Amino acid sequence: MAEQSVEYRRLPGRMLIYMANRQCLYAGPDHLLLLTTSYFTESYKRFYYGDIQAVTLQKTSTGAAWNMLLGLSLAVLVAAIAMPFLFDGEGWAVLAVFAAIFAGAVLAALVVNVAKGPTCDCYIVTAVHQEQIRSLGRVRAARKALALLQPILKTVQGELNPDNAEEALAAACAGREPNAPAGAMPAHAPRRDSGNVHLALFLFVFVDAAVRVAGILSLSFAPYALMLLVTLALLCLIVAALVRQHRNDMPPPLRNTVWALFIYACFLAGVVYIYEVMRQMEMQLGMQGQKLEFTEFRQILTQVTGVVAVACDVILGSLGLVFLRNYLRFQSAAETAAAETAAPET
Amino acid sequence: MSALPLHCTKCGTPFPQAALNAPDFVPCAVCGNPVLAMVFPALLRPQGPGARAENILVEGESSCFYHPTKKAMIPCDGCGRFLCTLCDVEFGSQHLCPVCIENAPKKGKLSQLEHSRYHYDTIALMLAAYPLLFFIMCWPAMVATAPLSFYYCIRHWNTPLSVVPRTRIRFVLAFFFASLQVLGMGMLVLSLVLGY
Repeated sequence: MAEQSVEYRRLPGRMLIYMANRQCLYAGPDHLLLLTTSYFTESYKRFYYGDIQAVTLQKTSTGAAWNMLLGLSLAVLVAAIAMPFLFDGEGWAVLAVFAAIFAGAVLAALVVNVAKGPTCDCYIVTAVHQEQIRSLGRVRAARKALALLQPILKTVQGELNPDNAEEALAAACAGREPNAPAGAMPAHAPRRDSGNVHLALFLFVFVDAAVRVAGILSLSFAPYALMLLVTLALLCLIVAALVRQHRNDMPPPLRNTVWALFIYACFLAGVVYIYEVMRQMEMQLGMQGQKLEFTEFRQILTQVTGVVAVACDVILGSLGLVFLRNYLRFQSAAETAAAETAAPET
Repeated sequence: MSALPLHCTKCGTPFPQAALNAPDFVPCAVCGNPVLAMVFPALLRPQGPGARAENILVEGESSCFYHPTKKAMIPCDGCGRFLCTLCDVEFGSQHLCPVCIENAPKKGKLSQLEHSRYHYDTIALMLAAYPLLFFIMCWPAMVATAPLSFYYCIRHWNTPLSVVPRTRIRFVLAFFFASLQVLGMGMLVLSLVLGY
C-alpha cells in the first residue's frame, strides 16, 4: 500500500464559516476534495466524480439581509455623525467620533458584500447523501466552479441521454422511485401547518401596538418596562413562528411577513440599545459632575420610534392575518378536494 | 435511482423539472425560492444489489479469513489474507480487507483515506506570534512559547502539512519570531547579569 500523492486544483469560492473555520473546494484527478480548516486541523471529505449525481444551487436572501442590516446600521451611524451639527453639547462630538469609526468598518463590509454578489446554498448530491458546500456560498463563485466541474464530470460519467432520461428525471423531481405510481406521495413532501403559532404572533402584534399607543399617550399602565417585556415576548413568538414555517408549505408572502416582523423587532431592539446607552452615558457623566444633554434627543427618539412601531405593528399584523387566512382557506379546500377524490374509491 | 430526491432545502418540495440543467434559476413551485440543479448520468444509474459471498460447498476449499464458511475469492493486497466477496473492498486498483482499510490512515498509507491533518506550522507560528501581538499580557509566556515554537519547527519540518499545496513559510516566520524572542530574552538576562 504505497502512499499516492495527488495533485489538486483549487476551485473558486472560499467561505469563512466562523472564527477560524474555513472551507474550500479542490478538484483532484478522480475526486473533489472538500477541505475544512478549523484552527490547527484540516479535515477532508472526498466526492468521487463517478458518484456525483447532481449539484444543486438555491438562491438565499442572506446576502440581501446583510446588505439591509449593514445599510440600516450605516444610516443610524451617519445620523449619529450628523448629531453635533443639530444639537449642542460635548457628548455629541464624542459620539460622532465613535460613530465615524464604526461607520467606516460597516461601509467596508457593505462594499465587500455587494461586490461578492448574491448568496446561494450549494449541495452535492450522491446516491447516499447530500452535502452542503459552504465555500460555494455565492452565486458567482458557484457558477464558476460548476463551469469548471461540468467538463470533468462529463468526461467521467458521459453525457445525459435526453431520450431515456425524461421519465427518470421526472421521477427524480417527483421524489419517488421510477416504477412507483404517478400519484404516489413524494418522499420529501412539505409539512402542513395548523398556523396556530402564526395566528398567536399576528394577534400579539396588535397587543404590542396597543401598548405602544398607550406609551405615546403617556398612560400610567404602559411604563417602559412593560414595553420591553412586550418586545421580548414578540421576539420569542417571531422565533417560534420562524421555526414552525421551516420546511412547510406556507406561501412566500406569509413567510416574508414573519421575516419582516423579525427585521422590525431587531430594529426595535437596536433603538432600545441606543436609548439605554444614552441613558447610561448621561447617568455616568452626571455622577462625575459633567452635563450631557441627550434628554431632548431621547424624547424625540421615543416618540418617532413609537409612531413607526405602531404603524409597522398594524400593517404587518393585518397583512399577516390576511395571508394566514388565505393559507388556511387554501389548505382546507385542498383537504376537501382530496377527501372527495378518495371517497368514490372507497 | 437516487434515494434522496432533488428537493428544495427551504420548503422540502421536489425541484421543478424545468430547473434541471437549466441555464438560469427557476422558482420553486411552493416557496418561490430560485433553484437550479445540474444533474449527471449517475442520477439515472440503477443501484444494483450488494455483493453476496458464496458458501463453501467442497471440503478443503480456501475460505475467507473473516468468514470461515464463505469461499475465498481474492487475497488482500495489503496483508495477503484471503477474502470473500463480502470482505473485498475495491479501492482504485487495489483489493483490500476492512482491517487494512481501517489501519491505512493511522499508518499514513493511502492518502485518499486520510480525513484530517494537523497544521503544525500554524501551531508554531501562533506560539511565536501571539506573545508578540499581545505583548503586554503575554510577555512572560515567551519563556515557554519560544522554545515550544522552535520544537514544532524542527520536529515537524518534514511532516506532511496538507494534502493540498502548502508552503513552509509559516515555519520560517515562526522560526524568525521565536529567534527574536530568544535573542531579546538573552539580551535581557545578559544585561541583568552584567549589571547594565
